[in-house]
Amino acid sequence: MFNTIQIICASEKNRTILRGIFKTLGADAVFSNDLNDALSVFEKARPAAVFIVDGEEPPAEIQLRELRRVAPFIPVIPLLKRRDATRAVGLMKAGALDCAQSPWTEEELRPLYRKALKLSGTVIELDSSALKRRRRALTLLLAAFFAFTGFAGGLYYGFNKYSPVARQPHSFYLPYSHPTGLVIKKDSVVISDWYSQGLYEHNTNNFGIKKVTSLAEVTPVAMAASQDALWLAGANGVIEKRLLDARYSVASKTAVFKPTPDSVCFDGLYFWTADSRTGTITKRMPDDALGMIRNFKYPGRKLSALTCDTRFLWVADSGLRGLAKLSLDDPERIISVTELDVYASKTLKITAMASKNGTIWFAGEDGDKALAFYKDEPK
Amino acid sequence: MPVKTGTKRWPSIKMNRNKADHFIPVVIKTSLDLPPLWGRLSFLSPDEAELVSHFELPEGRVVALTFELGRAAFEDIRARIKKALRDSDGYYNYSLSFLDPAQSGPIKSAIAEGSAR
Repeated sequence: MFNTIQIICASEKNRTILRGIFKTLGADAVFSNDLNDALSVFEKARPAAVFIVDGEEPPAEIQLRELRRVAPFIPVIPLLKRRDATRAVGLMKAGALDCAQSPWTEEELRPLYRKALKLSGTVIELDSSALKRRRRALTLLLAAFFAFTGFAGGLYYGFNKYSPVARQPHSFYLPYSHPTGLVIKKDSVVISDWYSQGLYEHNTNNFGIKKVTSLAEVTPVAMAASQDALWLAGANGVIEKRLLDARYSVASKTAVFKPTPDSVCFDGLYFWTADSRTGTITKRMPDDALGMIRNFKYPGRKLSALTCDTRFLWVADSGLRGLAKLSLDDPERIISVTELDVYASKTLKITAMASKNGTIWFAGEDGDKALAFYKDEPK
Repeated sequence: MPVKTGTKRWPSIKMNRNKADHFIPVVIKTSLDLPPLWGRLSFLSPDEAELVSHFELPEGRVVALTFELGRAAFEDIRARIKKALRDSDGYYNYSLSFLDPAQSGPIKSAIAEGSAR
């Protein structure tokens, strides 16, 4: 704080008193003998306030007038030699900030000195308080912003880290009980059901039914598809080739196969059928008659369902309680067997399979319910 | 109809220093036996006033104020100190209520005259 004050005092005795008081108050006091002396050093001293001793020459009113002429806003405080309220008010009317009464003591002068120093604050001080208010508001705003950002970030981080990941279900219960065939399309899954004699097209994501096609003349026991055709194996041993139109129109039919195949698939080049009762896998030509090329004996324990893709034959083996991978060139050799945890249910009977894009789909009966599920292809 | 003789608080004088003269100097009589004190009115209405002084006075004390407002002069206006607060510099801010309705009338007139000008 700028603490230089000017004291106009001719009396050496009073100077001594005032010097001690203002030193105690922490002021840097500059003494002048009279008004002329004061004005001559005024520019150099640049005091924050002027204290004038009343009762000296020239009178305090004149000193006030001259000082205010030089520095209109400087606080001037007359030091009265006695308590004279009328004179004090008169001097205040003349422009004095306030008046100190006698005896001059530290306690008496402290409030006047401190107030005078504050009054001597420049306009910059006035603005600085406004600036401080703005700065405080800005600081609070920034703090609120960062607090909100931190809170939101923490919430987002915590939510991501600790909230359970929404997992897409890999298993779906079916609203019918006897699935027999499974075909994977681009964004849907088609399942045949022998009991209701229908084809059910499900949405892949939520497995809601998109379409139902009734097969009044066929009891489907197996199903396969290619790019442009759908094969339905009937309970009568006949395999129908159907078009992929809205009504799955019949394109051709085979003769009756004995034994009746209960699994069929198309590997892109050949057609395959399987009979779970005998464990026979048959490789066929993909023509209308599906002429047999060769029979293979399934080398596993119990063939439940069969499917294929362009690389392998896949067999759900209830005896091995897993998924067997067979070579297309030599189906009598098991390449690998991967355990299926769904076989933990002793009542599960897998009845249909399909393979597409590295995913193996299954459909089956489990007690009085039917379900479909899929798993990634074993490495 | 209150009149702000400057601003309401003494410290705000520093923000309106060029208006410091506008604070009304006032003589404060506390007792017939004691010499009067002085201060300034920072707020004035016909019923209430705020007084700033470096002299300490107790709450509840009745004081008599002498001051000028425009062309009117008021002498020994009786008021009671309702509340006293000391600021960080050591000055006291007193909240006063005038006691004599008969004295409030002329103050009201003076304020109205001052406001009209």
